[in-house]
This record gives sequence, C-alpha cells and structure tokens, in this order.
Amino acid sequence: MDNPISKKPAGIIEKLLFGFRAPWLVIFLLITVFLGYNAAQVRPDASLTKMIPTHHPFIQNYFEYQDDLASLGNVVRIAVEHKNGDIFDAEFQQELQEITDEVFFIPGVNRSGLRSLWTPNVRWMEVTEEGFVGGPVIPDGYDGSEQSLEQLRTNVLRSGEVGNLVANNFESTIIYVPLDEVHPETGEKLDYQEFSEKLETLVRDKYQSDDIGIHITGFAKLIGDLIEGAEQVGLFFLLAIAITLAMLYAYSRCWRSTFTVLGCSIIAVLWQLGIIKLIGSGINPYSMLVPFLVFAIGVSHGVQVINAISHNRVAGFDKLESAKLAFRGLYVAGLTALASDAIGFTTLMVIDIEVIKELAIAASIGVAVVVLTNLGLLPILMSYLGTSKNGVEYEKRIEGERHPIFELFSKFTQPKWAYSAVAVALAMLAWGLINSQNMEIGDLDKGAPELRPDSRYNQDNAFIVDNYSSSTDIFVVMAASAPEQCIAYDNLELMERFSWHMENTPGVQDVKSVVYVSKMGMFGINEGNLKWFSLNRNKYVINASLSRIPDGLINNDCSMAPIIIYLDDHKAKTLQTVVDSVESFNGRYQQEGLDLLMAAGNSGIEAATNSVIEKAQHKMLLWVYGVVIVLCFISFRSLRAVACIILPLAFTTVMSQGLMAVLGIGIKVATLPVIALGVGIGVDYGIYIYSKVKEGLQQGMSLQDTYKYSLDNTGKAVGFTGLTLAIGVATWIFSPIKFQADMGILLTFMFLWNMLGALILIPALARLFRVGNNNQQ
Amino acid sequence: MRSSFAQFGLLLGALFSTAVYAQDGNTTTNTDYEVISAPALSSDEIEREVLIEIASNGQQLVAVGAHGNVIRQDESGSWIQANVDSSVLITSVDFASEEKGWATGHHGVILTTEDGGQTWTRQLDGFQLMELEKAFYQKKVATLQERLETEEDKEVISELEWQLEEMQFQISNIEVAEEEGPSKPFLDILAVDEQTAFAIGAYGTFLKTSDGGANWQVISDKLENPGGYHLNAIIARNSDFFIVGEAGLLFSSENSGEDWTRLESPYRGSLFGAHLDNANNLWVYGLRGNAYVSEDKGQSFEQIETGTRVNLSAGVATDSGEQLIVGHSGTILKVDAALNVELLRHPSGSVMTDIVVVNDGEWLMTGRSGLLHWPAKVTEEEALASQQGAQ
Repeated sequence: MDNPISKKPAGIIEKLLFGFRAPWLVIFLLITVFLGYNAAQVRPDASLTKMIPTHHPFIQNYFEYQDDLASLGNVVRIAVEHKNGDIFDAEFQQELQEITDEVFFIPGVNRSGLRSLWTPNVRWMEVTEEGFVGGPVIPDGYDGSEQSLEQLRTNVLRSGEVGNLVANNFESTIIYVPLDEVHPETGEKLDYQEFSEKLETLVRDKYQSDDIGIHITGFAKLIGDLIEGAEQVGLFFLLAIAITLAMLYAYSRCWRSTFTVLGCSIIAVLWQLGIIKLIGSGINPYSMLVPFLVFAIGVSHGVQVINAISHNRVAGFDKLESAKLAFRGLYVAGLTALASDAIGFTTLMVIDIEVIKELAIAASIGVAVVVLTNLGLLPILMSYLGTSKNGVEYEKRIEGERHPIFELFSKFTQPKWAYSAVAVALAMLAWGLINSQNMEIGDLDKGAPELRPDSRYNQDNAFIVDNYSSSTDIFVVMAASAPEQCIAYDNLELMERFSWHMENTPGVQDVKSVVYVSKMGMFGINEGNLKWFSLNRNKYVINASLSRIPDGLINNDCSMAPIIIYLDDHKAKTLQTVVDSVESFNGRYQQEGLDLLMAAGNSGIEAATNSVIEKAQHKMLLWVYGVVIVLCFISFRSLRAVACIILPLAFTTVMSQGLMAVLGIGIKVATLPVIALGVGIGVDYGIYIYSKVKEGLQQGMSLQDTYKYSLDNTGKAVGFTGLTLAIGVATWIFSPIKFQADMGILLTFMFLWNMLGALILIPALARLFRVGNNNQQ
Repeated sequence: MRSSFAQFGLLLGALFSTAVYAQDGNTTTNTDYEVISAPALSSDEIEREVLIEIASNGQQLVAVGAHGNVIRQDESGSWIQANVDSSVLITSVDFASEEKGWATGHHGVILTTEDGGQTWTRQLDGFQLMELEKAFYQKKVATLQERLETEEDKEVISELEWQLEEMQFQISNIEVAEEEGPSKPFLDILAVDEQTAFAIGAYGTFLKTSDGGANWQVISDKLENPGGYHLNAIIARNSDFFIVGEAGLLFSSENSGEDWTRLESPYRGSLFGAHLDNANNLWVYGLRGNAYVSEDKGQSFEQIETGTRVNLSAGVATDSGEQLIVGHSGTILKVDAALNVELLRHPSGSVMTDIVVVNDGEWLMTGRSGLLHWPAKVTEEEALASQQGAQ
C-alpha cells in the first residue's frame, strides 16, 4: 500500500495550514462566533421589487406611477359563503355584519374604502322623474324579518353589485378590503405577514363553520402565505441535516468523521448567512436554496477529505500525516471544482433580476466559504481527532473487496458497453430535445403561480373567480398625459379606441378604465338611456360623467389613467399577444400628449419578466458552459478531456429541459438559475473522476484499469456526493411554495443525473474518443 | 448704446422665433385619430358589445351599436360585420327599401347604405351639422331683424327681441362648440322613402332630407320645444307621424312631417320609445315603468299597469295582437289586447334597448350585452355577457 501523493512535496499552503494548527482553530472559532451572531439576524423577506427585472422599460414605467397605482392593487377580498342557502338569510347577515366589523378594526385596513353589504358606502340608485334617488342596500330599520330580507334582495339587484360584491349565484358575498401601504397616523409600513395572520385568526378561524365558508385572496394574503411557507423551509433544513447525518455514518462508520464533516458544513452555512447579512443582501424565497446547496457542497467535499484520510490511516500513516496527505491530494481538484461552482454561479449575474443576482452572490460566497471550512478547517480538525478505530477497520474491510456496482461501471470502458451506453444516451437525448421544444416561458398554472395549484390560497382564488365577474390576471397600460389632461376628450377618445382594440385581442376578457366610467356616467346622467353610452366632447359633460369615479382610475394631478385589461390566463403566449397588440396600436396611432405605456398589474410585470428571461436563458447557458469548458481545459489541457466531461453535462441539461416540458414547469425566475446551478455543481463529478483517470493514465495503465483505479479512489465519494446533494434539495419538493418545489424537483434530477452521467458516460466517451490509447501497453 | 439695442433686437427676435415655434408645435398636436372618420374595427366581439337598435330591410336583420358596429344576418342565420366608415356609437337604424337605409350616431353622424346594409358611408357629421345650424340661426336672426325694423307693435317687438336674443344665444353656443367639436348625438332616424328621411337628436335637433341624404335641412323650428329637450324617438304610419322625447315631450303630424303639433303628454318624465300597433293605436313609454296607449292618435291616453319601475326603451307589435316592450334589468312586458301585462325577465338581467319578432314566440333583443334571444339561449357567451351587463 503506497500512496503516490506521499511522494509529492508539501506545498506552501499546506505548510502554512498545518504549521499553525492551533492559531488557525482560534481564528476559525472567532469568525464563526462573529458571523453566527449575524446569521441569527437574517430574516426572510419577500419584496416584490426584487423579483422583477427593474431595468426593463415596463418596470421603469411601472415604478414611475407606482404610488398612483397602489390604491388600485392593494386589496384583499374576503368572500363569505353561505354553504346551505343564499345570502338572504337573517343568521347569515348577522355573521356578515360581525365579520365586517371585525375586519374594520384590523390595523392596515383603509376604513373609508372598506365595502361590504353592511358598509354605508354600498348603495343602490335609481333615476326618477326628479333625478337620482338611492340609499344603502341594507334597508332602513332592517330587523332580519322576511320582509326586510326581501327588501335587501331588491336593493342588491338594483345596486349593480351582482358579480362584484355579490356572487352571481347569490350564495356568497364579498367584503372588499383596501389596504393602506403606510399607516396614515403612525407612518408605519404595513406588515403583510402580521396582517395575513390577523385575517386567519380573527376571520377564518373565528367564523368558518359548517354553515359559513371563508375565502380570502389578495396580494397581502399571498405575501403572508409566501413568508409563512418560507419559514417552513427551516424545518426542511433540519430534515436534510438528519438524513445527511445518517448517510455520513453509514458511509464512514465513524462518528468523529461524521460530526466533523457535518459541523464544518453547518459552519459554512453560518458564515455564508452572516456574510450575506453583513453585505446587506437579504435572503428571499429563491436564495433560501443556497444554504441547502452550501451545506450539501460542504458535505460532498468533506466526504472526499475523510475518505482520503481513512485511506491513509489504513495505509498506516498517523493522524496528522493522514490529514496532510489528504489535503495535498485533494486541494487542487477541490479548488478547481469549487472555483468552477463559484464562477458558474456568478454567470447568473447576467440576469437582470435582483433575486437571481442575490442567489448568485449568496451561492458564490457560500462556495468560497466551503473552500475555507471544508478544505481548511476540516483537515485541521481531523488531524487532531483522526478517524475512529471503528471507521478505520470498516475502511480496511471494504477496501480489499471491489463493489459489484463499480465492476459494472468500469465495464463502460469496454467498446461494446461504451457504444451501447452512448447509443442509449443519444436516444434519450432525442427524447429530451423533442420534448424541450414544448418548453414554455413563464408560469403555466392558474391562480397565484407562486403557490401550489391546490393550496388554500389558490382554492380561495378559484372560488372567487368562478363566482364573481373577475379575473385575477391583470395587465395594466398606463395612459400618461400632461397634468390635468388625463380626461381631456382627445385622450379619452383614443383610450376608448385602444380599449376596443384590446377587447378584440385574443386572451382578453374585458377592459376597464376611466373611459368606461365616463360612458357609464353618460348613461346615468341621461336617465339610463343607453343611446348615450358614449364619450362626449364637452369638458363640462365629461366632468359631470366622472363625478363618481372610483379610487385609482386617475391619479392625483390627472396625468395618468390606468387602463386595466383582464386576461384569460397568464401564459407567456397570452401575455406576448397582449404586448404585441399594444405595440401595434401604438405604432398605428401616435397622439401627441398621450402615451400608452406598458405595463403594470401582475400580468404586466410577468410579461416584462418573461421577456428578460427569454433573452437571458441562452445567454446564461453560453456563459455557464463557456466558463466550465475553459476551466476544464485549464485543468486537463486536452480537448478530449473537456469533451468527456462536458458532454454528459449537456446531456443532463437537455434532459432536464425535456423534463420541464413534460412536468409543465415553465422557464421562470425560479427555474432559470437551476440549470446554471446544476451545471456548475455537476461538473465537480467529472473533474474528480477525470483527475484520477489522468493520474492512472500517467502511470501507464490501460483505460479499463485506469477507470477501475479512478472508481476505487473517488467513485464511492462521487456517488455519495450525488446522493447528499440530491437529498439536500429534494426536501424542497415538499415546500408549500410552488417555485421552490419546482427548483427542488429539477435540482434533484440534475444532481442524480449528472452523477450517473459522469460515472457511465465519462468512461464510455473516453473509449469513444480513444483516450489513453497512446499509453496502452 | 448701439450694442444694447442690438441685444434688445436679438432678444426680440428670439421671443418671436419661440412664439412662432410654439405655434408650429400647436398645429402638430392635432390628433391622428378622429372617431367620426375612423373606420369601424373588424371584430368577433360585436354580438356581445353594446347594440342599440335592430331593424329589417325586408330581407335581413341589421343591428347597430357601439364603435361604429353594424352587423347583419346572412341567409344561413349567422351575423356578419358591415363596413362602416365611422366609429361613433350608432343609435338608430331604419330602412326605406331593401337597399336604401340610414343610421344615426353620436358626434352628429348620419350614415347611409345603398346596398342593403353591407357598406355604410357618412352623409353628415357634427362639424357639418354645426355649420347647418349656424346658417339656420343666422337666417332666423336676419329675418327677425328685418321684421323688427318694420314692426311697430311694442308687444310684438319685445317678443321678437326675446326671440332674437334666443337665436343669438344659439349661435354663440355653436361658436363655443366649434372649438371643442360636435357633442350632439342623433337619437333616432325615420326613413320614409328612398329620398325622404327625418333625423332627431339631443337638445331638440331635428333634420330632414328630401334628396336621399345629399342635403340635410334643419327644421327644429317646426317643433314647439323652447326648452331644447332631447327628442328620443320618431315613428310613422301612412301620413301620421309622432315624436316623443325628454320630459314627456310628445308631437304629432298628420301631413307626413310637414307641420307638427305639440300634444298634451300623459307623463311629465322622459319618454324613450313609441310604436304603433296593428290597430293604429299609439304606444309610448319611458322612465320608471311608465307606459301609455292612445286609441285616438295621441289625443287621450290610458296608463298601462306595468308592474315594474324599470326604464322602458322600445316596443313592437306581434302578429297575434300583443305588444312587446323591453327595458332595463332584462324586463320584457307582454301586453295583450285587454291590456293585461305579463312580466317576463331575460336571465341576463341586462339593459335592453330594442326588440324584433323573428318567429311566433321567438324574439331578438339588443342592449348592453349585445344580441339576446328569447327564449333565452344561455350559452357560455351569454352567461358572461350577462355578468358584464349586470355591472
């Protein structure tokens, strides 16, 4: 048993590291305490602006009018359902009144804007010979009697609220709750999570029964649910640690090694979180993935280290010497692999979306930290602790016997096996290519795409969409004019043309704006004669028609009026059709003084995000592959080596794209980084395996022997690495947040597939490209 | 000194040049888009958009409505869109023959067709209407001034002076409107024959053509309407003509629209529609479920117990002697010969503006939600339309 590495001289880094072991330990301890303290203060935040491409022209336009649009969007709808009858029921109305009162007092609610059957601002109106008459829909002297309920029914019918506040089937009614982003008195910002929790405890938990159903939707509720879901992810981290612990022990049969690796990896996570906190970059529902990755990468590199150390112990070296030799043998490959990870992640910076940039920064920092903790701290700790007797004996026992699986893998260097493997891979590649053609940009499910289709939020959303005349996919075009000109006739008339143009665009359900209010106003002030359902050129008539304009349809200085376009869905194709349609209108009708600007509303923002992602996806692939290819070439100085390592990765990339199409996962903010992460980390396997192959070839072995040698040395660790990485991210598949689950599925797939690709295709491709033939004896 | 003069001159020049520049800037702010002359968009949505009236040219049904939309039913029963060179809200349609018809709209637009409703072209718009009216009032002013010069009776003089002031007020109104553009809609049209038609509208607007629409004459002085109330509907049979309007206005003519008399109205609220039944009885209806019938050409009326308080817009007589009157909230009144009312409700609950009988017991209505059927066909589209209409 000789170790070729022991013949190499010790490098300067090794001398520095192992020459001052105790001071290093103190330094590591101090840094850990400091960064750990900072890490403890990291809180998840779900800021909308970080999830959108802030430099896209749509978003720039949106930011310009963000304050003006706020009152339009920030609304919570609470549908109160009478499960055993219609809403014209005394007991139901009493409950409704109580819920309305309850909501009125929740902090953050804009009380004057609150609307329900029981608020005085919900009125019926009628034209009489004398003019308008009207009153609140709850009749004067309401006492719950048959008679007053019948009067209520009449008032509701003539209030025009059917489809808005009252369901089309009269079995539920909505409490419409506008929110104040900033508290008007205290100036405090609205805490979405707290507000969302209050709705749960004070409304849903308190009033939901066999008779009463509560359904809540709205941006504030969605953000609340997202943060709540994100917090559950903390539990997944504990689960990932527990599983990894079990696997590490099964692998090493040494508690000391197990806890050292686990500890060093957790330290890496603490450092990473602490640094993120210090540089002021937050953790969001997307970059939450990073601690899992850092942990898994830490474990996988740690495994390489303890694997080498126990090899050396078996070979008869002492604790310190084993650790030194392990470090000497691994740090080049380790550094190359980690550098390629880190650089692979930084390529994500080309995407102009803050959450992805944060994810890239966090991941790069994390990987840099792993270099220090698991290639620095870990060998030092192990030089004190050493592999336990139990671990050394286990290693000794299994070292002699060759695992049947490795026998199988090494067969792929034989021509017959190699060609079959390549043929199978090509067939699968074809499957991936064909399916990946169906891959779509953006979110594909109904409702709030951030959450699962069957989540309570999306069920509530579906209830409201089904029973009321409203779509939740909203695309807003901002009609911008000079101040005081937003309701000038020329502008309104062009907006009217635009609305009709958009209503004739496929995928558009309805268009509403100040134009519609003016036309309804004309209809109203002309005694309900529909022949007047038109704009008028006279500015006094226009003003009169707009006397009852709802909040948000024009801004304070009348320089902008949002045109709200309700869509069938938010699929990328629908959004693109809408964007194209707006552009073609703008191309045809140029009017000085009026700009029809895209875009706000959830669908407008999504359209911008989609366009950024569509452009970024190819750019990002080029970058990540470019970087990985260059790194591999620098390490191995051989194009054939590069091909052997890169082709299996490319194969996995195509397969995962096919998988996305088959599973209905779109390319979006969450899934775009996954491919870069998968490639960046996946290349590690190839680097470890190929570096051993190179070593073997240099010793003059045949390809098959070389590969056996390589598998003996790193195969087990590579297999283990693939599994730990997969487990780290697989827990995400159970996240209540849909995009986290999507990331989990894809990363798990990529990590496992990259591992298999490396183990099977590298030898097969090496055979195909006649690697090592020159050296064969 | 000289230099300061030179500077002053430069400054002045700069001021002038900016003033000129600003004027240039103003002339280019004219919009490319004018609703009066913009052709109607082709659309699949018309049957669900606002439609106001429906009429037959003897062969086919033609319906008109928002955005210059006109649709006509082809032999197979499906609806096809007509070519219209305007995008205003079209408020009425009537045919003189299988080929010749007229339609009216907002912004003073009158359209005509020579091919049974396939293509519609503008004969008049609000800008021309303002010129016509201005000339009309100027002529009135000239006549009044002439009479004032010769008149000696003081009472007559003060009456004429009052009239003169009124006419001059109308002219200054038009001059103000010339800056903003036309704001008066036409509200109804009556096609008498291929040459003759009457158009009525807001603020007492009343026009006639006797040459197929090549020239339109202002004849609003034929109606005694000093308040300038809106004229809502015009109907005729043989030589008996009727007009109803705002605030209970009711006029009749016994000589095909040459001379008009104001009748005593049964109702002081607005009347939106009128029709003549098979026995030549006159039906009028309007605000708050008010409907009346007259057996003596409008001299006396009997009120109908409609049992509803919604607005009533339009009506038609069936072959079997019943009257169908439509209105808001999906309301259809079916009135039999004994004046018993059956109240039907279209499930859309929508605002309805016109009705035609297609077959016995089978009717088509227009309104806020487009075309509606009776018996109600609640297709998915109609259900959606009804939701929108209810808002």
